[in-house]
Amino acid sequence: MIEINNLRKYYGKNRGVEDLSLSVTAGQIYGFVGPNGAGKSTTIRTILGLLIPDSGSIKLFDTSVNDHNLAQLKPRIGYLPSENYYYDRLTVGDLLNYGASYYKKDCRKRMDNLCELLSLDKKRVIEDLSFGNKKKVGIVQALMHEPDLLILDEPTVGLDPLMQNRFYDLLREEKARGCTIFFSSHILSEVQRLCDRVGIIKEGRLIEEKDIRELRATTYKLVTMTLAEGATFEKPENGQAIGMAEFSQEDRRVRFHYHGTADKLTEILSKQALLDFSVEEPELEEIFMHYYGEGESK
Amino acid sequence: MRLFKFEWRTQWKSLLIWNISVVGFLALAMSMFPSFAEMGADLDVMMDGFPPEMRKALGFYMIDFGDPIQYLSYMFQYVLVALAAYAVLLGGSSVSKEESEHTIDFLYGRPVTRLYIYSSKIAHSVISVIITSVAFFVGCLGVLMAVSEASPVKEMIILSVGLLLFMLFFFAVGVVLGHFVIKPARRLPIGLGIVFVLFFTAILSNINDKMDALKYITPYRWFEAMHLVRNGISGWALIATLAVIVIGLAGAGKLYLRKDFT
Repeated sequence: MIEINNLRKYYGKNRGVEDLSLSVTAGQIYGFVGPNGAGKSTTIRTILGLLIPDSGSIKLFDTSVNDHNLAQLKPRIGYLPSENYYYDRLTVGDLLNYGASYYKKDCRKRMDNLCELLSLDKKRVIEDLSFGNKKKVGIVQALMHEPDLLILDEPTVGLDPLMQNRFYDLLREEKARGCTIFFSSHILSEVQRLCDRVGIIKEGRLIEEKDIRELRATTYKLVTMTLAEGATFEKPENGQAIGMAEFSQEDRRVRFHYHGTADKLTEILSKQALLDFSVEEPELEEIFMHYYGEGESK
Repeated sequence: MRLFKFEWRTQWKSLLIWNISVVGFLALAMSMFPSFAEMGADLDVMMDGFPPEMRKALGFYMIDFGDPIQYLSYMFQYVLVALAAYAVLLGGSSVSKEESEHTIDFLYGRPVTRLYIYSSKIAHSVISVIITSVAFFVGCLGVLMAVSEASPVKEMIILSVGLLLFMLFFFAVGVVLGHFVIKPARRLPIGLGIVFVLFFTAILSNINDKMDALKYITPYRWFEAMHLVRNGISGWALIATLAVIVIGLAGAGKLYLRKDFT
């Protein structure tokens, strides 16, 4: 559905993205995560033709993208920018009708349903809307023509928790309808909750791309131990070599990341006097911090 | 066509205000014509009291204020300055406004090409300029007929066509400027700077014979009212103006197709 190969985009001397390749298959929800300035918005804006790439190729719906054929594909694409700016003096209804007039289909029913779902008053003037309400306008205009591909840049920023949950439900409905969704986010819990696949971008490069279950299963395990009364933790001398990292100990509670074989872990645990232990898959946030922490420690 | 219609819907008030202002200024100025005409020889004596350089600089050298067309020609130079400012600002905002107001994400998210956006915006603005020229023609002719017995249709057609070309010159300059300077606050002083530098260049070339060659670089000299009324539009002015318009708009269009919408 989306295929990006070796994408490079610089703003003068400033890096946007560098040698970025990723692919999103049909029907997937793809989470694109990274901190500010990592290149998420640059990637999205380049996919949509708002930015001209320095090199590399982009395919949407198996078609190489240029200005002309992108216009032919856009009826199948819905786009929600991270910051929502519209024509201030129009009412919400006028803006949405204007946007809908570009599509060769009647969007009114879907538009009304979405406005009702998001509690958006179509009679209000755009310039009077709060940041969150402008975001709702953005969601309606992105979804009202029932696209096959949704590209969302930080979609829930500005929405209150109730609206966020309604939005998540909407995305699930869109997915059930067969829509492919590519969205960038800072909010890792929502990525974890919604996405089938995750790409992590760091300094303009994709440093990890995996199915979310695989990512959580294969990166490392979070080991937590509670030592028995009076026991001390016998840290293996070759801990780092066998995949142990990020130790922390507070009283009798010991935590570390483990990226090694199950046999070795069993051996480590068997040498300790333990009251309790757990081996868990890490939260996406911890994986994210793991990748970014590595960069900062370099 | 949707974008073209949308532009009309959102910008007709601005166009109306500009046109009312221009015609209003001319009506006000021309309402004083009967008083000037009555002064006749007394006014000529008074004008002769000013140094020739000053009269050239202020545009009333060799002008008979008792003749309605010549009187209008004197006022025309100030109309040119106002409409040059209008045209350069219109050109600057026509293609860069969506970017400066960040609405380009919404617009380019629709099934449109960059060429469609550019051509719709340019078409709307060019028609706005044509409407202003027509308003000038109708307004001026009406005022002239009201304050004098003259009905100089032929002269007014020449002046209006000259005004149209003059505005399109500055409009093209504005479009090119808008490509490089997106923010209106930064574009405004540069645009007005171009308008006034070319105006003062025209004055310099008028008052100093050594600087006469400057008349080839400023459209204020190419479209001087008295020259237009007496000799029509010169070949040089026509070619130079059309060259700036065509090269400016085609060049800016080519750049627009490859620019980053940031």
